[in-house]
Amino acid sequence: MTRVFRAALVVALTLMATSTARAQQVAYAATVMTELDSATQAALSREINAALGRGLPAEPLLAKVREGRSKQASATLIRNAVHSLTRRLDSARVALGAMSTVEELTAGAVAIAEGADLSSLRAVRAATNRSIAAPLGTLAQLLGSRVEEKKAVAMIVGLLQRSASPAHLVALGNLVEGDVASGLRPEEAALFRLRGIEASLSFGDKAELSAPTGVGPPSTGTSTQKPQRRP
Amino acid sequence: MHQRLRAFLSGLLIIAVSRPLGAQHALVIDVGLAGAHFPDDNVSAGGPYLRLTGSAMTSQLFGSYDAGAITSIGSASGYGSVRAGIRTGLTPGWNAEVATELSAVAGSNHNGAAGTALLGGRATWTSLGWGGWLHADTHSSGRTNATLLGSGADAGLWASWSQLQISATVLHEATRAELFAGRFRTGFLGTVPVNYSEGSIAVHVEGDRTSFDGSASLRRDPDATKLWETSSLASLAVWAGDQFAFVFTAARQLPDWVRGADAAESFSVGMRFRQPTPERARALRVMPYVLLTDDADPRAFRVRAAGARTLEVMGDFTDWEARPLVRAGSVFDLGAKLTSGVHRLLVRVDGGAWRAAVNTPVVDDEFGGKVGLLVVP
Repeated sequence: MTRVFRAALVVALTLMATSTARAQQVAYAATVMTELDSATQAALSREINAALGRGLPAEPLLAKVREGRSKQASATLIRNAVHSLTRRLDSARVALGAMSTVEELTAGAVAIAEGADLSSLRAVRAATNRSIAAPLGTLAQLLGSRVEEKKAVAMIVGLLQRSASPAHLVALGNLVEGDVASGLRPEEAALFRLRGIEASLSFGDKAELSAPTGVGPPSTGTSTQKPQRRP
Repeated sequence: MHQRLRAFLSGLLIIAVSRPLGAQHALVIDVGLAGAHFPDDNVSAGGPYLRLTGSAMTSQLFGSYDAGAITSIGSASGYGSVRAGIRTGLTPGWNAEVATELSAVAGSNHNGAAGTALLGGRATWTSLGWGGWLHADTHSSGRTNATLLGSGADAGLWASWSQLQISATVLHEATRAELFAGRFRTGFLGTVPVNYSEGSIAVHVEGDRTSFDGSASLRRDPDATKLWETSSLASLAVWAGDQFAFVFTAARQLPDWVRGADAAESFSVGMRFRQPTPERARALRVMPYVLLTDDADPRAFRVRAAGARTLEVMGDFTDWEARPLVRAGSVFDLGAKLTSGVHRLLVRVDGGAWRAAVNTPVVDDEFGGKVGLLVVP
């Protein structure tokens, strides 16, 4: 009976904490949107509340509103950006599962924005039990560097299966990004850097992040001067 | 009249060499007065000039243009040059590029017209603050009486500090020149080969609102009157506004056998528009680089920005509000750690424009701009 009571108490406290956190998020959202017109505020509140109701995190959506405000974007652009992000977060949640963290969903949404399929997100999820926020960030970075999606996913999954650390994965994305920016072909850069990181894994190392008058033919006699070569 | 036009055309080329090193702007406008003496014909000329220059580049493509006009009583001349190329990476640090240049001069008298096409390849090596290059080209130039073919090769080194740039070049040129029996290109006799070697050094020094460009070269030309010849240039720019400067230039120029400019001694006094002050240009040249790999503190947010005086960041981890970083040498510290995952951010150097750090991939921000992505392990 005591155990049942304790279990009920934990569930109640969890629900209360969730409810409190949600209330805080809604209150914070109101402060974020204070400088927006009432129609935009209402539209954004509906969008964010609906997202919260579906279990999506509010933080990335509120950050999007903040970003738009900082950049003095129009209300329409802010609404569209938040709506697009909501859709990407929904997709990421479908692919990654309901238990995904805010960081994972945010990274998944970024990867989707860079062109990742949901199957790619699932493949990365299936490769490890650890957080995949950094691997999904690396996937987004490789896709942004124009590495073919299948190859990018295979590289990341391969590294995760070899227990590569998040730092190794981030190093792969950063190094390929730098190589491609300096003109190397994406596939070559990715393969080259992957081999380097695999080698460091083998050795147990950490990833390394880190008109003058001249002399010419004889004169024709048309002039008393010496012939001149001219540029 | 044609000799005077020719002199003006050469004057334009003199103006062209006075451009500061490393300028990268869509459009820079120069206007002023230029005067020149041409020792080969023993004539002097002068008049108002207008010059437009610009350049742009992406990660692989680059291009520039240079167009100018100079007028005098009863005559006018123009000069135009377009250069474009493609660059590709070979290995980290090494790049290869192929570029072509088309240039033309024309005036109200056709005797002054000349057109030149160059095609060249270059290999460059770049490290932090210095680098070098190897370059070769071939060219064809249509002149009044003949088409002249030639080729050249050069190699150089450069070093760059925050307010000082130095470069040194050696080159060899093998081309042809028209041969005339009289002054002012009269009495055409044919063409003769021209072979010369040259070494030069150039320096660029700048303050916050002033810059100085100087260069000197030594040429060895076995067929010239003097085996060894020298040239030099000095140009001072003083900014009176954010994008407006007074420019003073004096030059002693050797003949350009490739594009057809005569030897000349010249000066110009003018105004330059749309070129930012050196202080602002330095801020644009600063390459802010996010550091997250300190073994002791892997998620502390720092930015290396050599040459920057102040640095700010805004991103999702600052609620998109500008936050100044604390400077320690060339590294700036936010004093906060980032959570694992993907963050969006922009940085600002010396109060300039917000932009992505060089090592954060740039993506559309959905507000019509760009934003940098940072993946934190």
